[in-house]
Amino acid sequence: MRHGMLRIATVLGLVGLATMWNPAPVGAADEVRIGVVSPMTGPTAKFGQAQKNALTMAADDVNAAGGIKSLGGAKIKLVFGDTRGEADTGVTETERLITREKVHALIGAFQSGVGFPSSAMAERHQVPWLTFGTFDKITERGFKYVFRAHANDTIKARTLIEGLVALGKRASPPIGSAVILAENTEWGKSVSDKQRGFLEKAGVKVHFVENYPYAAPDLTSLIVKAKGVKPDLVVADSYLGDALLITRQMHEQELRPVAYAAGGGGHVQPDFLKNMAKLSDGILAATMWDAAVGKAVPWIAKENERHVAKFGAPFTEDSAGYYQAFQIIVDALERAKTTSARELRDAIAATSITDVNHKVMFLPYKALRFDDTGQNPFATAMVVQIQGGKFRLLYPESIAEPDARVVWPYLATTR
Amino acid sequence: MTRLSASVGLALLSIVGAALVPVATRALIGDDDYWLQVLIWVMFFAYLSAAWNLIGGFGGQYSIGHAGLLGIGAYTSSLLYVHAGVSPWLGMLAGGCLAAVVGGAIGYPCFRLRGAFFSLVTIAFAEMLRVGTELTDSLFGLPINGVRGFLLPVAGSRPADFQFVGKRGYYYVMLGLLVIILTVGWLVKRSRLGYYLAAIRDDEDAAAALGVHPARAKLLAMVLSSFFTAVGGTFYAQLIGFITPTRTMSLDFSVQMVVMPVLGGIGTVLGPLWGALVLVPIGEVTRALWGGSLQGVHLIIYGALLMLVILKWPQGIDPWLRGLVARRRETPVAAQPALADAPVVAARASPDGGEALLRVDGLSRSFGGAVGVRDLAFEVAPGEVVGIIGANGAGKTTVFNLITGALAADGGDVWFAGRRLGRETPDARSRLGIARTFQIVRPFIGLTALENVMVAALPRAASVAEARREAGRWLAFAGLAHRAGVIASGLSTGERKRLELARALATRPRLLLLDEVTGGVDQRSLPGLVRLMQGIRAEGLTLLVIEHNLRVVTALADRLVVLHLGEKIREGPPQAVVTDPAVVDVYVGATVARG
Amino acid sequence: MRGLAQAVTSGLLIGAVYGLIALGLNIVFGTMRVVNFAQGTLLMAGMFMTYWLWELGGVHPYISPLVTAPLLFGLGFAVQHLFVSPLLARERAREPMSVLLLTLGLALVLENVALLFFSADFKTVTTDVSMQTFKIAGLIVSVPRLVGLGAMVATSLVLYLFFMHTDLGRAVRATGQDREVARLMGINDFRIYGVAYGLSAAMMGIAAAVLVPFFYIHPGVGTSFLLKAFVIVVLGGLGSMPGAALGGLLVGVIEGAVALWVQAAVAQIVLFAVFVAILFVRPAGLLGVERR
Repeated sequence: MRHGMLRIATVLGLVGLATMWNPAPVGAADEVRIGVVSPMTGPTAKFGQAQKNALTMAADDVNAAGGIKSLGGAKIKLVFGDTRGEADTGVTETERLITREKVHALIGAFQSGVGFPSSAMAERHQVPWLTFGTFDKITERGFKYVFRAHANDTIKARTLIEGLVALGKRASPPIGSAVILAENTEWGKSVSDKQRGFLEKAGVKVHFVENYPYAAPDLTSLIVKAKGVKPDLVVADSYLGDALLITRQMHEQELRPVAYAAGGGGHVQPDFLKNMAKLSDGILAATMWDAAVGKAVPWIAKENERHVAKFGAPFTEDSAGYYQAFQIIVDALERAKTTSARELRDAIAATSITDVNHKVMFLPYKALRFDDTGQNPFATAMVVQIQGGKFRLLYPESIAEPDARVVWPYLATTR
Repeated sequence: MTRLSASVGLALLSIVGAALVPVATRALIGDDDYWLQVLIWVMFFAYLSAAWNLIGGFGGQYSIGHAGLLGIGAYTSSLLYVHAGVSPWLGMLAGGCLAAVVGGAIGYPCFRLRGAFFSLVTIAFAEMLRVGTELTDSLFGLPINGVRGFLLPVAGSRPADFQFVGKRGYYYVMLGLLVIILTVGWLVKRSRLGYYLAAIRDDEDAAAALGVHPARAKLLAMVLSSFFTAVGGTFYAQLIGFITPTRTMSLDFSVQMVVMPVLGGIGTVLGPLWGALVLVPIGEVTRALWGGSLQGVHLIIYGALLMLVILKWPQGIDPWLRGLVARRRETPVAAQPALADAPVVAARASPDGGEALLRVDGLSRSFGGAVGVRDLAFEVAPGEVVGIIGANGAGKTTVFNLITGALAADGGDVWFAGRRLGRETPDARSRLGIARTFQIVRPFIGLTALENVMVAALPRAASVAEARREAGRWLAFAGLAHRAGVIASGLSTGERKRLELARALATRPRLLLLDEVTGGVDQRSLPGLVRLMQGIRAEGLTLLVIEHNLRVVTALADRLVVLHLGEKIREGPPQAVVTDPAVVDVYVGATVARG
Repeated sequence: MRGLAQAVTSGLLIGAVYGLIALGLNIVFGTMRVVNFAQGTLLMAGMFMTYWLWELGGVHPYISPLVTAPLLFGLGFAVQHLFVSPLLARERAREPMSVLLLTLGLALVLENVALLFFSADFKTVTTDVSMQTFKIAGLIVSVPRLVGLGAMVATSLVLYLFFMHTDLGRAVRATGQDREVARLMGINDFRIYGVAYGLSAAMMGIAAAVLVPFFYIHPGVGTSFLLKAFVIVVLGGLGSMPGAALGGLLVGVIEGAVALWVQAAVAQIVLFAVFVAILFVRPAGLLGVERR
């Protein structure tokens, strides 16, 4: 028996020793490490890949141009963490990037539900976190190290509704009533609530908001219910699968609203366009970025073309957001002249850019600043419409494509 | 050294090792929260698996809905904290109690669903809870945000409110919880409850026939399991700071809680720990190495490992580890010949000796159109040995089943010690003093011979130790003392028959029903078995014996009852009966063959 | 009223698809008492096969079962032989838990291997019938789903005839009732199990052919159908083919009706509640045979 105990003790001891071999990664002193927290695997892996592409291109550009000049030409190193789309994995990964990989700043995490607790982890460790995620509360916790340059759910919802009203004013028939169909996930619920609020404020009667189960195989009853109240506007907040299903079943059940709008998500993905052809014509959507902004701001178009050349696809809304976050960090590093967390954070907080040709303006705003909650108060969204299988940028007017006209009502081209 | 000390040793070593490693690591490298986090996850899943194991491994009811209980714990303590200012330490206990009630209330009626049906029902309940919570924005006026998730305030270091900065605090809390749950598991395993559960798991009906309450035992296990799982939920909420029904109560989570103990060793104390130690690091490593390029690899490994373990090593890792540490030894007991040290068999003959102990009156039972037993009547006086004989299909085992309550009678009565037996269940009748052996022996296959008999002795023993002593004596009486430490599956048929006898005797019955004890026993073992039965008889116990072997039964019995096609055709002293022409007629051929 | 009629109609149509999947599960669960958690992933495999046949070979989904069904049969048979039968040989219990866990592991492996090779992208197939509808008495009927209903009815009839009136079918039923006795009767129970499992898998090829024209293809697609299929099998009655078909239709209708009046998500709760109730009140299900 003693022999056995001894054996176990030895094994455990060796295991213990082995885990102690824990070499701190030799972080080159002249290297800036930026952690990227994204879903690299799991159902939303495609988004993570797009984000990776965009950032890789951006980092390569910076390094090719000589790195961070104020740090003596320090090169940027991207370190990726895989959230798998799960909150607790995101938290663990964030921690790993901070404590093991010793990153100087982080960008993440695409899904608001993941970014929410993960950014809290960054706050705990006092490492700057640039958010990509629209959940309002991410920047409403009194945190000092969490920033968001782009629009949150409120801004996106407001933009969509204001855009609809503005575009509808010039067309007929007008919108007097609406239904909102949102999937029952944290994003769908949050966005639909905001949309309802803005619609009601704009004087549109919202008959009902339903949060249907994600990935349901049949939504006929929902469509029938909607049809029953004869809404002028149908708003859908869905990921790709449901977006396809709803659109198809609206067609089947002959629900033809005056306007069909999407809060984002599935309706603005290339796969949606590919599969929906005629039925997608006229769908309006809120987005934070569309390649069409390149028409008003040429350097953006050039960047997009380079991206297409490199990766065979354009930027997406989220990869554009990650790109912007990256540029903000780079800009702050130049000003901070150090990678120390506190000072980098201060530099980010002090960001104030209005030049539309500055790289941070990849998502163009009137200005890029951060208020004391960490949110950019000048962040806006835009409204696009699918026309002939392409997205046309229609609102706000300042960046709208000059030669684009709204198609109204939905499916006007096929009636 | 007994197996007991081996597991204690292992447990201590594991815990000590787990505590030492990060301390040493930190000393060398500096504050490294990453490894602490990994260890926290390992311990967390080990904890949850161990809590599940109480009902899944020990109880044999595989719940695949335990994440629902986790969610109850997480939400209860979080709601109490955010809306009522109750410290999560207390909220943890509240959540645990709530989960215990819910788990017990749902589990109890569901236990009668066997195997896979029970699992499916637990999935159904967990899913209902999950979807329900997703749809609920506020509960009793308190916002819980449904699917959007519930967030806890991050307020820096507040140990009194279960919040720590950095990982160290959480690490030690989790370590403490893990020690607690493993200790609970260990205590349960060696307690009365543990033996009952092990017996129920192997053969619920045989356990009931020994006087064990299967539903009650499982309920207790379920309540414990639910309580501790919910406590784990509170920990999770405090660690992550954000809970959503979609993740917290997900089927995936429930599955993980099942896979780890299965891998590690179902029904063992440390199995869950091994399972977590293997699987959690795999998940971490695959993500760190291949994050981004290979999707879902860790799940492929989980699934493949699960399949491998089920097919090749269904007992899991734990027994293999034990093999390294302690060799299975038969508990050394002085090898006494068969009947020495025979304890006094409970011969509770009634003082006047006249009143029948067992009376069967007009007993009838049919199966569809076929008659099992028709209008049967006989008596057994205290201290008597009555043999029931008859050709196959005469209804003998049916009589036993009717007496023990395994079957309900269509008509007639069974009287035992002056009391009419109505709807008493088999376990209730066992407690009254009726014991039986089965024709096809049904030992608890995963328990040792000693443990088999202990299960029978426990209901009447004041402590586990006393039951063990009793069991040892009965084993000795049955001539199996030298095989006490052998797992029942390793016993020969003759030994199993003796085991059945020892087990039945350990219930201190007043009436013992022996169903074809000599059936299937080889010629060499026969005399020893017969001697045993004579020994039982000699102690004055009342016996009702079904026997095919006429030599054995004529030697043993005071009276014989002959059944044919469900009816009694003859009754009387052995010699008279076996020479009776009517009886010989029924046995034509049989008598010649058996001689 | 029109709304309800429409919801019920559509519910029946999608319920037909559920029924198809439940039929497959029923063969294994109902007659063999094997809890096959991998049924959903077999459906997923069938859908991917159908997809690739269309993408690479231009084979219309409705013809694909000619290829996919035999392939899946082989896959099912192999799985049975390699993994399930050693377990059944070992276990005494009627519904061994180990088989449930084994198939769970198998499902994990299959789903994630598909994820690895085919990525998580949603794939869709748009055929000529994908969006066709026509009207009956003012009710809108989707053509691909009507095809599904037809397939389900035809399949359940064929299966019914197979199980009731052929020797092989009867052998499968007998083995499901008592494999010891069946073995004594000379039935090679392990080969029978292989046939049953293979048949069940082959049916997923038919279900896939029906689904692909109007539902997306994705490694996780099987799981959502799996739980519903279990509910249906229990509701309809274990071992009863008409029961599984009827149960599928019923579940579709319940879903549709509940979604119309309350919320679609509530339908999930209702279904599970029905499931639990059936197990307690009438474990044999609607059309099942009461045991013992």
